[in-house]
Amino acid sequence: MTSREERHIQRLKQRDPAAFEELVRAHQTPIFNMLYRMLGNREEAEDLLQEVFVAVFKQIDGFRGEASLTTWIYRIATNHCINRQKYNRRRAQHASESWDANHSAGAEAMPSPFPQPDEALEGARMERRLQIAISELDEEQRIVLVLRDIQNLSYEEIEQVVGVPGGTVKSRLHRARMALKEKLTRGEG
Amino acid sequence: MNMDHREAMELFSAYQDGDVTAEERASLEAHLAQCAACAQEWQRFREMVSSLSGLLPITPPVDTVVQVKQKIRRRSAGRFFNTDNSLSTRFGVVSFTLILAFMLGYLLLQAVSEISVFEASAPLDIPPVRDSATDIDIDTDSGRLVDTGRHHTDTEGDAAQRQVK
Repeated sequence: MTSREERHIQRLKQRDPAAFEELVRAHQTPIFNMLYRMLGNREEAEDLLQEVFVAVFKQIDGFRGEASLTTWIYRIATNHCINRQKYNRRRAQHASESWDANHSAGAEAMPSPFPQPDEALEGARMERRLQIAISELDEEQRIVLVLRDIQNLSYEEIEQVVGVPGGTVKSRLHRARMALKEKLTRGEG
Repeated sequence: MNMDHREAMELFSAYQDGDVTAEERASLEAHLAQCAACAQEWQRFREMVSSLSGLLPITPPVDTVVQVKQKIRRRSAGRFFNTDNSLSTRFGVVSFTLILAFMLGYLLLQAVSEISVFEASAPLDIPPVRDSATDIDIDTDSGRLVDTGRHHTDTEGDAAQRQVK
């Protein structure tokens, strides 16, 4: 941790409003993207984004610097996601039903997941396909897949966020990727 | 080492992340070179991972900072992020009061000094009071009162009138 980060954390622990604003501005985009990919619903991601930063504000005294501040915030965000999904399950709300169609305007129903070169990666359509498939993954697999392949965290960082050994992270990631590939392949037929 | 389809696919994820030994890499690449089915699966796997990392970032709401601060203020019953009690607001109120007091003091001083200067530099130009009145006659032609310019003096007639009174 650099001395600048240490000073920033010290200011956060003193509840310095400017330091907190700086923290929110620096982390809001990656955390929002992680929440959105996990939940598949923009409104819910927006609400949870606020809750995550409220929790960061409340719990900052408990940050001991064992992991980076970013990893620590990701852990809080992950826990919030898990709790929210438990709550959603209790309300019998299937994740794929809550997919926010507004985000991928113009998307059509399940075209080929592996498009031919001439139609390769038509942004919104591909994104919609991927998001639906991600939403159908097992929660543990989804977390490591989102953190690794979308948020681009290292194995070590994912270990710290999820709190499981590296071997478990790797095997979950492998299973998540294979399951996602299968879902996309099935959608092709 | 020869590997079957299942063993090959088990290595896809590690191979993608460069997390395989030299021996595993050589075996997998040899298998993919001779197995069209696994090569196709590998192609799909690679494209899928590439698509995930190529997803465009989504922008959070522009008012996230404001919303979070409001939420904290509400939940802390105004203890944090309360604009009324914030240091900057208190500083602003104190500054305003001081400036106002300074301006009033300045105006007061100005007013006092103006009165002093007026008194010192512009004495009242009051004509001296004449110790006797001038006589006034009636102009018989016009019928108007005319100041004769002559000082009135006490005459015997005046004294006799005072005695009668």
